[in-house]
Amino acid sequence: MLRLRLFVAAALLPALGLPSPACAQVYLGLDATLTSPYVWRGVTRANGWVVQPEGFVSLKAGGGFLSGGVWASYELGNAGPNDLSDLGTGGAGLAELNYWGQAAWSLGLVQAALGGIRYTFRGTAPTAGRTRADNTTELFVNLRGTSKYIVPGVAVWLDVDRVRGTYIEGSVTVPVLANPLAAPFFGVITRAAVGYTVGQEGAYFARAGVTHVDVAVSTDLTLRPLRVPTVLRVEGHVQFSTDDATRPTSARPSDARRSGKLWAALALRLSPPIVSW
Amino acid sequence: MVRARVRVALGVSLVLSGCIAYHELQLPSPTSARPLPAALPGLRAGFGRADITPPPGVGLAGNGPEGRRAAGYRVRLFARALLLEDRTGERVAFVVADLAQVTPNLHRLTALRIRDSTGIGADRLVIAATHVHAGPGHFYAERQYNQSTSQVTGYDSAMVEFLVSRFARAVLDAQRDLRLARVAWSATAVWGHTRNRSYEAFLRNKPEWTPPAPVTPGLDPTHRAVNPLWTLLRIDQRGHGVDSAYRPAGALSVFAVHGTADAPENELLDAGLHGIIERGLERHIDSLSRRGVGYHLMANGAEGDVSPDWPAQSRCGAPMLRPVVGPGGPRTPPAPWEWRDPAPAWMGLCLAAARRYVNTAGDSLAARAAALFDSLGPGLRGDLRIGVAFRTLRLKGDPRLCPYPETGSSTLAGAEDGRTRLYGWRLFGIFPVGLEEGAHAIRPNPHDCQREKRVALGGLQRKLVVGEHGLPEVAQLSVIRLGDLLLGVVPAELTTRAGAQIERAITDSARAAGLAPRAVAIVGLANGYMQYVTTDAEYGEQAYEGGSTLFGPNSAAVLAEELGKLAASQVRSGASPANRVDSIAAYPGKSQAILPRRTVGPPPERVTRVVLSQACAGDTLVVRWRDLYPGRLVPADGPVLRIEQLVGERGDTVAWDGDRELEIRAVRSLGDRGYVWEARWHHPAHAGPFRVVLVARAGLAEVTGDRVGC
Repeated sequence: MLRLRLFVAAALLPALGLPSPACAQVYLGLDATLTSPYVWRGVTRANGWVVQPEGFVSLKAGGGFLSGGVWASYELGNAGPNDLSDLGTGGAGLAELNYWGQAAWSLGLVQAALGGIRYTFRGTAPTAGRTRADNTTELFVNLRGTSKYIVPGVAVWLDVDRVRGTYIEGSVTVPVLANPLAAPFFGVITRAAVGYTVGQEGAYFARAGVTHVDVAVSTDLTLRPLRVPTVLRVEGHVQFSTDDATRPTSARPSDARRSGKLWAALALRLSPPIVSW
Repeated sequence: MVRARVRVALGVSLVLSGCIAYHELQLPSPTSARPLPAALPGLRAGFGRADITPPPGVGLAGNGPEGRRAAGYRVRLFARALLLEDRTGERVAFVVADLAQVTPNLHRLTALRIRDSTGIGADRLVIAATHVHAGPGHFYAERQYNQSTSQVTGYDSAMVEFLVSRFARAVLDAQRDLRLARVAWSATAVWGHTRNRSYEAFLRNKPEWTPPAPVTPGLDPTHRAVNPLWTLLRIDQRGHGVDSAYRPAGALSVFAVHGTADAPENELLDAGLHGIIERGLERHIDSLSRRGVGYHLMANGAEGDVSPDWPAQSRCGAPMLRPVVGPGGPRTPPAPWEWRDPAPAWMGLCLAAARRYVNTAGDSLAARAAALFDSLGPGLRGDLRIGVAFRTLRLKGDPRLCPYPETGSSTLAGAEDGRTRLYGWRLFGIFPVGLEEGAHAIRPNPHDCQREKRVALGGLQRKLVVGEHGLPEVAQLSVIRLGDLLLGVVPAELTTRAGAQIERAITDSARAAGLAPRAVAIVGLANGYMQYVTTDAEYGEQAYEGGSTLFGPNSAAVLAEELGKLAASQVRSGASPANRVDSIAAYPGKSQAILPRRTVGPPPERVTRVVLSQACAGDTLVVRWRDLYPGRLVPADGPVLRIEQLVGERGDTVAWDGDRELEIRAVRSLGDRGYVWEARWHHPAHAGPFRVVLVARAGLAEVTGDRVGC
């Protein structure tokens, strides 16, 4: 009962209308993504439905954010022998748990994020795509511009644990249209990204160099039910694979040499400010 | 299978048409009573005024997606009324309101309210807007305007009632104030304060522009490409009882200038440049009459392409769509992009620059109006003859016009005075889509009625966005005769040359009918709103005004023809023709609560008004106090606070809320304890100490703040 009350109190807290001009604010973030398949750096990790909830806390201070959170990947279906799965065949459930910390801030024309992420895996079956032995840690830097039309970006992921390699992703983001009126915000954003590996080929990819090209279209709808900023995001991807590890779309031999794949995701994100001072 | 297909077809047709809900409202058609000679022979005039400043929270109409939600108010908004009656009983009432536009529903509903008391129906009532871009919206008779004139979207019938009741009160006050009067009018050229903002389109006209008055030397071409004539009707009233002298009482003036002196990013309700000019002349009249308050109704002219001469630093720049840094991490779905304003420091500077310009230009123009007013003293006469010719023109379906209204892509980009966030937008940053003036906003292969207009969203505009009745369908037109001055009243923003074309048509027709008008002036933005009207030649340029000429390139010619006919129907004797008031409908959309309601928040007996803080920042006094919620503290109900300069124990009032140097904002809710309000008073001309007095209001006693030294 006490838990329920605390939950209700936490949910209603933002509706009290916290004063906006504050020195610092703490945000509680909750989000969940439903995706099929689950594609990570161009590699299809699970070709069934996967739900990926996340919780985080962010401190906003001085125009930047210090954040820490936990992210999970649950495979919803029982994978068969022809499926790709981090858990392996015959099971559904928690396949991956990540812990991360990040500092992000804006530097005029450039936005930067620095942080670290710990990947842990729960697969145990002999057919599992990832097991505890694959656990590792990466540090990352993410930079992107803030220009009017074409926003360039580059992210560098350096594995400092098991893999000891680097993955680089360059991207160009272009907004196509957006509701010019303030609310509800609705926008359509296109993004093209290219992956490149230097040293992660042993662990995740077949060879060094370009891994894949991903072209994505996403729409964001921002609503404020009970004054809680809520974003509904739908995204679709077309991927052109250039690495043998990014080609398979299932465990079938016939799907092992695909040069392209399509996938989509639906995400819901809430990140209300809960404390201000 | 067939049933499934039928369901899909029904669903699609609902999406395409049925989802656009208009909520049709039939508007009343009150016709004026037959004129009866007055008991007192001679011209009579009366004035009235009503405060129309709504509470904060409403959208500021006029700047499209850049129009903010009102955080508070600065110079109060008013509706000023003038009622004139000649010796034969011919009457006409003018109302000029500090609003961006006036709509047919406001006009007809006001006429209905005043018809029985004044005998004035829709045909003899002129309600014009100053076109200030910092007044409220949500009253439009057309759904599309309720959806797109500010960031706060929607129609609110309470806003219509708020405005109509006050317009009617102003006219009824004018009726009560009717007294014997003497009038005189003249026009003077005021160069240098206005410029043509669509000069390329203006240059397309042939023959070239011949200014109606000698040009001040040294003006650049854009400043010469305007109609500089300021037409002013001065009215002196006779006193009551033993006070039989005629003294200055008020004025009706017409001058073409956009109400865009305030920056589009302004977040305060504000009467703007027109408000400063109105008050400036009123203070001058007060000083002359020594009877009390003077009145100045300042209507707009053919201002479609005429901007005030605002300085470049007074435009802040529209928000840009940018990725944002938000809470979250590497696994979090990316934060959505946001429309981001320019940096706050820059916004502060440009808003301050715009307000400095509004004040200085307003003072300068008020001085010109005062000089013109004074010059009319020797020529005052009491034998003015009044005539009114009125008709409702159905634009939609008129074979001379495009069959239905459509907006061009250049409209979405905004005019030079206030570019929208869509200005210059290109698909993928590369491919132009016409969100600009001229250039790609011009259709390369004109093939239909809208000719060069690149219709925004093409055929989808009508099917998905505007719908069947989303834009105006009628125009209420009139020609008012005030002696040898004819006023062409149009519900549109005419460009300089379109205005000249219509003035010429009125002049020619009137002369052909035997009248000898000394001048014709256009009163724009009156009795409705059909957006802009350019000349045929200007339309080809597809500047902002051409894109906003809804019914195509022949619009100016049609208005000229119709107003010419109305002028011809005026007869030399002065008697008005039989004016018919046709029934019309409004399609505003579903009403929703936008104007803060009087029931929101604790009642007065549960709120303790108290000054919470007082501080000085440079030459600005900042005061915060606790008061009622915005819906219960309606500025239009009366004064809210005053600031006193302390001289010993005596307090001399140096500012009221509504003064141009005093900004009032509703800051935040305190729940059941009330609402925090803030006043910021810029006081370079006054030295402290000061104190703030919260004026007594219904159910609330006066509260005096502590002494504060600045």
